[in-house]
Amino acid sequence: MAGYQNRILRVDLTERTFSEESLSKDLTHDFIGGRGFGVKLLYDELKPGVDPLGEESELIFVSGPLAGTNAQSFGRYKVFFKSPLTGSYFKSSSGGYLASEMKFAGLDVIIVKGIADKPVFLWVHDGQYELRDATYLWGLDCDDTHTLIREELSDPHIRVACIGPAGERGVKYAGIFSDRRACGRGGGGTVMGSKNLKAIAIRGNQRIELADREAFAAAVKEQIKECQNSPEFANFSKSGTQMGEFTNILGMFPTKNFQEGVLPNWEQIERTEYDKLRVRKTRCYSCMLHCGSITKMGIGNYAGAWSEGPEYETIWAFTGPVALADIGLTIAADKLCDDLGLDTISTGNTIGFAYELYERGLITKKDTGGLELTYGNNKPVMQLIRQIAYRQGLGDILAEGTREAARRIGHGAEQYAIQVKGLEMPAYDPRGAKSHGLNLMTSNIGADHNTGYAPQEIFGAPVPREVDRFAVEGKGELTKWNQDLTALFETGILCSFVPSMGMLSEEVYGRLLSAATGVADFSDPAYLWQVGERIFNLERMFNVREGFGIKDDVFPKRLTGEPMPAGPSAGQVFEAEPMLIDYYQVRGWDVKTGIPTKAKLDELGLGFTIGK
Amino acid sequence: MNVEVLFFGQLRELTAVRQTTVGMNDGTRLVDLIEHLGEEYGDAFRHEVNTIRRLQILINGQQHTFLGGIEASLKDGDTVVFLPPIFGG
Repeated sequence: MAGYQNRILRVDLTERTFSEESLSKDLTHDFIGGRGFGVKLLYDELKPGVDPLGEESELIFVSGPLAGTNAQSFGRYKVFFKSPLTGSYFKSSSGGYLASEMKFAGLDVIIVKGIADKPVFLWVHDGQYELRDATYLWGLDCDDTHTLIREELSDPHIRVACIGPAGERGVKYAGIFSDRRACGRGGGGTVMGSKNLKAIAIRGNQRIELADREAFAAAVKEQIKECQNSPEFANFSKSGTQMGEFTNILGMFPTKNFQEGVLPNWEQIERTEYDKLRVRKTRCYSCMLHCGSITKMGIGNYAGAWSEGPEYETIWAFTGPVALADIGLTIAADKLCDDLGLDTISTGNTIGFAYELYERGLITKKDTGGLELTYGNNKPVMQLIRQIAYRQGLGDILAEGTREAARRIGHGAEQYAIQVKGLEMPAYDPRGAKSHGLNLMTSNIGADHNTGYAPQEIFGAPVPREVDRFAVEGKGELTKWNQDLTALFETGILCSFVPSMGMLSEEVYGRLLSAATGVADFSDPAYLWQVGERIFNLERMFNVREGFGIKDDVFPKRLTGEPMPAGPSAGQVFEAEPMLIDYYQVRGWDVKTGIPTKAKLDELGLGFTIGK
Repeated sequence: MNVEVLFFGQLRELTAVRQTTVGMNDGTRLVDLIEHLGEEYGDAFRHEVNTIRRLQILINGQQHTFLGGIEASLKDGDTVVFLPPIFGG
């Protein structure tokens, strides 16, 4: 079938064997690709209760059906795994150039299982596969790993995805990094490290066939027009994802571990301040948004520090939790996390958790090794990042994530772990945007903003309708709409910013897919919506099989019981119960268990999950 | 009464002002504030406010469309933000 390369590579690290298989027609028709492939393969492949870090766990890399073509913003890949941080199904995605290179190397999917007897890296090039010794790379940071693999293979154009020291040491929120872009969340790098797999390296020169080149070219033209017509295009293209001023204006910039919603002196981290520090723009494969930036500090405590970014989430992660707006630290900490292989969101959130414990006396200087974790003092942050990555001192327990760290610390620390299903909350206080919060509560991977971002509440997006961000009514339906729309577009692993900004309609996406693959059903938006819903429900059923249910769709009490103390969201709490019931009803799930009903599963062709 | 006004994006470039305090009569509506700002910053400001697609006007962090639109009443100490479309996350 065109569009795809029709090839899955299986790698068994224990046996040091490779095998190939074709994509099945049922898989491509029913799940289209990308996130659809990932969840179906993970559901079929993993035994219930499997140890995420054991020999039988798998790490699945997936490229999309439009990756490697000149369609815009589809150059992302995803990794799928059972998370060592949450114990749930997990998906994590990254931009860059790896997805297109997978396609050029003739692959849609790479499934890795087993554990190598010593560190290795996987070398994939035009139908040939090798496991090469990575003993000398073990311990190196991500940047150096990229450099040395390219040198070893004498090709600067090789694409690499690797782990850093954090993944090697089992930090539960270690990511996978490719040219400073990250599959950051959920511990994909932790799984990779447990397999002694330091990196995968890919190079290819194969063509990607298209079913109807003329129709595809016409659809790409339509896509570019839709993108250019978006009101957000110019500003986003110029400044990227930085928007710290905006969530402060809304009073939902999590400050002091979600105790407050406005950061003092937030004007110091406005996007215009980062604009001044930009030295170069960057972009992903075939993406006209080119939202990335290389940012560099010229003066001050962090003079010379640079990073690709930092993104909005990272800016928050190293300012809000410690209650100090310090642009230099955001850049230095971003680079350090990229080098050591850490998810910036969980790292910053976990550091904020430690600060609150210190402020409340639950931990002391004896626990911190003398560090003073007081609000407004951000000097310990860089040291804490290193301690987490290398599991030294307090970092050893923080490396477990807030939920497990709180359990071990005890004395009521659990209430200060701001997480859902074990995944640390990102840079939005749910009290200030109720559908956005309901997504964080119900996402199948825990508190992930990108599973069902609510641009209607955060940016006033008018589709499907304008909404009052504080209102409770109708938020179940809106949350489902955003989640299913996201899953729909992630069949192609489209950058999630694109649909949120209204830069690609389902109609044009359908034309791109059908022209590329020749599958007529893909041109029907109603069919695409059904696949989006199918994906979301299958993810849910993976978790149900692991014992998840309504008990796991829960927020820390702070967000449901403590009104926001001040600012533009003052007085707001997150009204969990009515919104959750509304959401379950709209989803066709049992309101007492949070599990999809048999009727819903049969409607979506997921009857095979019943009773598993 | 005094109203705090913040400009972002091209409106900040046009006015060369990040934040300003505007003295208005009691009973002032949003539309009155916009007119006042138009007098202060000229026709270019009026033009931008009328033509920027998806311009957000927030009163104390809430979209003005849920507070009565341009007829929304303002009170002493309110903060009004003019925010051209941005995106991120």
